[in-house]
Amino acid sequence: MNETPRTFYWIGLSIIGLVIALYILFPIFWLFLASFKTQSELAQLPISFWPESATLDAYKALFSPTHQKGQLLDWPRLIGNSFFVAISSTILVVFFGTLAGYAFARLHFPGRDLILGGLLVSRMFQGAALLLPTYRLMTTLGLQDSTIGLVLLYSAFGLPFATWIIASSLREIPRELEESAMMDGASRLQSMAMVVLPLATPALITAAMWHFVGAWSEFAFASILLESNENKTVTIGLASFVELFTLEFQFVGAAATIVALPIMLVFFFGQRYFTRGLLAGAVKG
Amino acid sequence: MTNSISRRQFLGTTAATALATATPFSGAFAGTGDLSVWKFGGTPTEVEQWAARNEAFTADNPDINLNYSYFNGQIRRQKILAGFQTRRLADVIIAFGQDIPEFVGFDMVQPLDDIAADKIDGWKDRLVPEVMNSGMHDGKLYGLPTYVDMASFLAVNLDALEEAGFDRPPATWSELREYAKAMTKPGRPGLAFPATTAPVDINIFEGIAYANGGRIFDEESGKVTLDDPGVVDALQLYVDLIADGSTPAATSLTETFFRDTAQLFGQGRSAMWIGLSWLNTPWGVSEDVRWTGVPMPRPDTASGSFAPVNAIMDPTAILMVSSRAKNPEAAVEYLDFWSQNEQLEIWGGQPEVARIPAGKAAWDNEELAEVWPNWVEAYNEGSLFEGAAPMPRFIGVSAIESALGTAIQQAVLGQKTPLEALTEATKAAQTQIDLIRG
Amino acid sequence: MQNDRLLAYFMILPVVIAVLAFVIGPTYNVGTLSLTKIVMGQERGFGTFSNFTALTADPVFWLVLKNTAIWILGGTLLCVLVGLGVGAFLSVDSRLTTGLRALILLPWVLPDVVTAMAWKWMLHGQVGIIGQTLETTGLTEETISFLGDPNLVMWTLVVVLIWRKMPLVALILCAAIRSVPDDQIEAARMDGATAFERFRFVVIPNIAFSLTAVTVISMIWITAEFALPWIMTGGGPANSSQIMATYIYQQSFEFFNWGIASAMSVINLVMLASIVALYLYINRRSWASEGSK
Repeated sequence: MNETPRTFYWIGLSIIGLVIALYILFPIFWLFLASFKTQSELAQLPISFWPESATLDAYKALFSPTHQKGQLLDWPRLIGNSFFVAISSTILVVFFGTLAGYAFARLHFPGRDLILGGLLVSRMFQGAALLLPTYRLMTTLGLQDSTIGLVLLYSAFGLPFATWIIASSLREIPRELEESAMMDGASRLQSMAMVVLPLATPALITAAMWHFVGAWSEFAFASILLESNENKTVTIGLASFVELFTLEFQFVGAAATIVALPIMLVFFFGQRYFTRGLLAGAVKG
Repeated sequence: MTNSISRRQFLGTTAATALATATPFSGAFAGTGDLSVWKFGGTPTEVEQWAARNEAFTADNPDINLNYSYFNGQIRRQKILAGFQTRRLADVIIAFGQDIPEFVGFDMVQPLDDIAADKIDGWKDRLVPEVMNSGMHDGKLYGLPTYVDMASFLAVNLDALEEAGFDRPPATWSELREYAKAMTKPGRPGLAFPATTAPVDINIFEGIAYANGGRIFDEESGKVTLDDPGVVDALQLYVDLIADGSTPAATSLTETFFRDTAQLFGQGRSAMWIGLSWLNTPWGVSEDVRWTGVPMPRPDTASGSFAPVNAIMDPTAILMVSSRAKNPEAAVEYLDFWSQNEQLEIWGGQPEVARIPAGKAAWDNEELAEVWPNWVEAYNEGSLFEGAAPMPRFIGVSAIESALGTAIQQAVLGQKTPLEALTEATKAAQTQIDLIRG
Repeated sequence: MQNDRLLAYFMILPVVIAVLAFVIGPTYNVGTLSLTKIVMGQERGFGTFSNFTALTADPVFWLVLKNTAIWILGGTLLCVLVGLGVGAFLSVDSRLTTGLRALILLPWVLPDVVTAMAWKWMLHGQVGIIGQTLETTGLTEETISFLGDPNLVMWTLVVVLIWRKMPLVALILCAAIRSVPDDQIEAARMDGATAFERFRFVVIPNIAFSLTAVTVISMIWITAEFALPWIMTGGGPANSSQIMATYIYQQSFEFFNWGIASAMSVINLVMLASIVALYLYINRRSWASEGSK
């Protein structure tokens, strides 16, 4: 290849990259900018692009106990609750998803494909119509207004897909490795734990990250199930800024930044495994 | 009445008023035990104040264990419905006056006449009678209102008004069209009104239609009356204003809800806007915009089949007691607490000038007089509530309002004439309402 | 073998129980409600199709079906196509793409309530940054109302939907493209295939499985998506963006008509389940071949 096409190639590539970056990142960036603006600047027309007099007031307000935007929301607590719910349900999902995923990938039993298909289809049952029956169920179980209840509910929602990802990736691992371990006297569960799982780490991380984000950002069920302030999650706090009467995008922006940050860190370090795991899940669906 | 209250002033006085109103109150017959309360949405200050006053309640009633839950305003109906289906409603529910018939029909709330017999006289002493009446349904009192919202009002930019050579705001529909046209200049339409699917936007239109003798439903015959001339002609007014070129583009109206409309007005992007009584909520009115708020202009001659009203109003934070309340005494105690002047004062001016206060004492507030002199004057004359009717409330109201919202948008967009759109909406809404009411 | 079978059932038991209890249970509930007549909030008689007949008589329902088709089919198709394009771009090695690969998931991280409000705000023709920019740069002469114009609204929603769902699809496809053996591409290049031909005849067949998989996954996500359209338009203007998810919500929580809402979700379910069944049927070979190993 001579120099000219190569230059064109890179220019073209950069332009495409910028267009994609603009589309994907601009809305987030715009919220981020809003977090440094004042209420009156946000109302101003024509809209000012950069904050005219950048302020950290919105961030301070979120974390100052005297100014909790009225709902008496305790942001450290909200974030703590969200972490609790997301992490616990992720642990449950990965653990049980791995067990089931292994069974679906490696063992033969009647109804296997049907059950796995059924699990996948059950993912489609979520929606507005399920809110009430689910609420009823959670109340019967005494699990409304409880973060534990939310952990169980999210786990049930997340398990089918996690099982599917894990099963798909386990099937990629050569059977021979496992068989030789079993030949050496390891039981099936031992060989699964010692030989198969280390190789499946990317898939497990993928499933974990997938579920973590879903649980972290869920709103519909959390908003209707949780009642007391001490149980509320971060999405409820975020939504409280997008009320009918308020135009407080500086708080939305600030809270969104705080909420997105931990997740971005997780992604930043887990990104490589994440894509690899998804690949395994998707290539041989 | 000029108005230029800024956000800064607004917040500055919040703290002072909170202190001033924090005088302790002690109930005569304090209840005991657990008390759960659900509150949905509200303006930022209201939400903040409500939580702050709750602390005063807890301090005054150490024997009552108050369990206060605040929910996003958007999930009001789904949360209440979920609670109803699981028989787990809070003891006190703070919802809309428009909800009352449905809540009563579904047996979710109970009348207060018996359980609060010894308190009601005190409430009547302290509350404006017309506002108190907005808690009535079928001759019984179902809720304690803390304020009302009224439809419809018109905000007018005074500079634009004078520039166009007028010395007073428009008073009739034909004047409104004339003014709006005269006040229109490039980049600044004479009038903006919201026309999205948001319920508030529909309430704003209902205020205009009811003033024209229109109604959306006839409770006696059980018939949807969206095709009444009173409603059709009110929608025709919207269509005419657009055809006159006095408004933003039709497609813009259907994406611009009341808060955006307020922003356009506050930033000098429209010379007038139609809203509810909270026109002057400080949502970004630039300090150099001089403006006034007046009642929405009247039809030249009312064309509807019903009695024209001056305004419609609804208490959007009314305290109701669940029919399954485990602790009605404590619930009544909580209602009584909110009927005290200290609490009703929240809507008497700063911090919350956005609502029409329910408390008589709140009307003496100097700040209210400063910010809304027209209101206070009208109230003192006894004409503020004169001829005001409740906002539509009956079982299935949302279904009709939703059909109305669709018809408004169809007419605004020019897809159908107001008559066509409303005739179809009548048919569709009748089907829906027959399903709900059986 | 017998042991294995027991072990297998034991291993899948927790998942099956969880799904049965928390997903299938409520779904069964919706099913029975769809056959129940509900008047004034009270259940009046089971075993009626009145909810379904009421639905078919409702003119809005047919509009809803049409809009839902755009939403689900158009959304899925575009999501996969854009995802394929972006994925192909990201599969190129460069510092730019490595950075983008990490950042691209951001839309996925924030709750949809927030992103819906942010987009609604940005897209507004008069008070939004996108509307303002289009007008001040002279790209559009008049105010453009993405969410107020019935001809634009559905596709605008799809653009936001893709923004939210595409990044993950792009990453999956990017990973798939990167795993295509280099020697195959090199061989095609030697044979004189253009970049497009290499993509079409070497890359695509290699990632065919991933493509089918992300198609179905996207479809499942898009079906479950409710907050975006509800918050951004509430089904308007004039029902032109009313879809199944929003209409179900409106019927059950605004109109308190949850019999009808349940009937609609049953119809929704049947349609989607048939699509998934089709998918599983198409992919039957992969499972079967594995099973016989």
